[in-house]
Amino acid sequence: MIKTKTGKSSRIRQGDIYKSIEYLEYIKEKKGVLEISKIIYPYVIVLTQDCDLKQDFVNRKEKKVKPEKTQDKYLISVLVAPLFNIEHFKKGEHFSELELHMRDDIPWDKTEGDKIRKNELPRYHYLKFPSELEIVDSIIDFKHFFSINIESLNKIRRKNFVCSVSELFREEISDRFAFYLSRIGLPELKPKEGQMNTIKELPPQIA
Amino acid sequence: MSKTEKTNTDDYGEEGISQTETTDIIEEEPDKYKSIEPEKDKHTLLKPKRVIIRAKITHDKN
Repeated sequence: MIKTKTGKSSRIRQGDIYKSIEYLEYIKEKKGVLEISKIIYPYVIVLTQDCDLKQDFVNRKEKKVKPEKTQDKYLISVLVAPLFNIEHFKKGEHFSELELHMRDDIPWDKTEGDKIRKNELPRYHYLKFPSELEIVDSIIDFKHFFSINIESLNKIRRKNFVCSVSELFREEISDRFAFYLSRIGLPELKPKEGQMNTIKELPPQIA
Repeated sequence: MSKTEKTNTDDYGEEGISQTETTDIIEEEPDKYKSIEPEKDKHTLLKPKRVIIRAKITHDKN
C-alpha cells in the first residue's frame, strides 16, 4: 500500500492525483465549423519533477511583485500519466471507450501478474490506495504519459484534486518512469540466410 | 516546508486568453462525466473517453 496526503497544497506537486483531466487530441476547422477532440481521463498522476513545479510557482509569484524579473523558471506544461482501474486493466478493457482493446491474457495468478503487482515490469506501476480514499487500486501505464498546460491544470486543481502520493512513494514512481523512458530498445537480430546457427549446429549435448 | 508553500493564494489568476472570434456550440457528444454525481465509487468505474465538440465560428463584430 502507498502513503498519501489529502490536504490541498498551494501549488501543483509531483505525485498529485487529479480527476477528470482532459487531453486535447486535435483542433481542426472545416467550412467554418471548428472540431475539437479531447480525451477525458478519469485519473492522472503528476510526473514532472517537484523542484521544477516549485520553481515555476515561486517565479510566477515573484514576477507579480517584481515585473522586471524574467520568466526563466516558468513551465508551459506538466507531465502526467493516466491511472487505470485495476479491474478494467485486468480485462484489457481500460481503453474500451476509445475502441482500443488491450491485453487481456496477463496471468494474474502467475509470474507476470505477480511481477506487475510487485512493480517489477518497467512499463507499469501498481498502486494500492488506503481504503478511506475514493480511488480504487489502480495501475499507471507509463506508455501513455502526456502533458497538460500548467495554467489549465492550475485553474481546476482545487476542484479536481484527489490526493497526493507521499514523497518516498512518488520518488519511486518518478524513478521507475525515468528508467522506462530511458530504456534502450534493441532489435531482435536473426541470423542471415546460410549463416550457421551456432545453437542448432552444436551437438545436442551442448545445445 | 518553505514560507512560500504555506501561502494559500492562487497565483495564476483566472484571466483567459482574449478572443477575436466567438463560437456557438452546435453539437456535443453526451458527456457521461457531467451526468454522474461526484460520488467516490462511481468515478473510479469510468474509463478514458473521447468527446468531440463541433462549434460554428462566427466573427465578432466588435
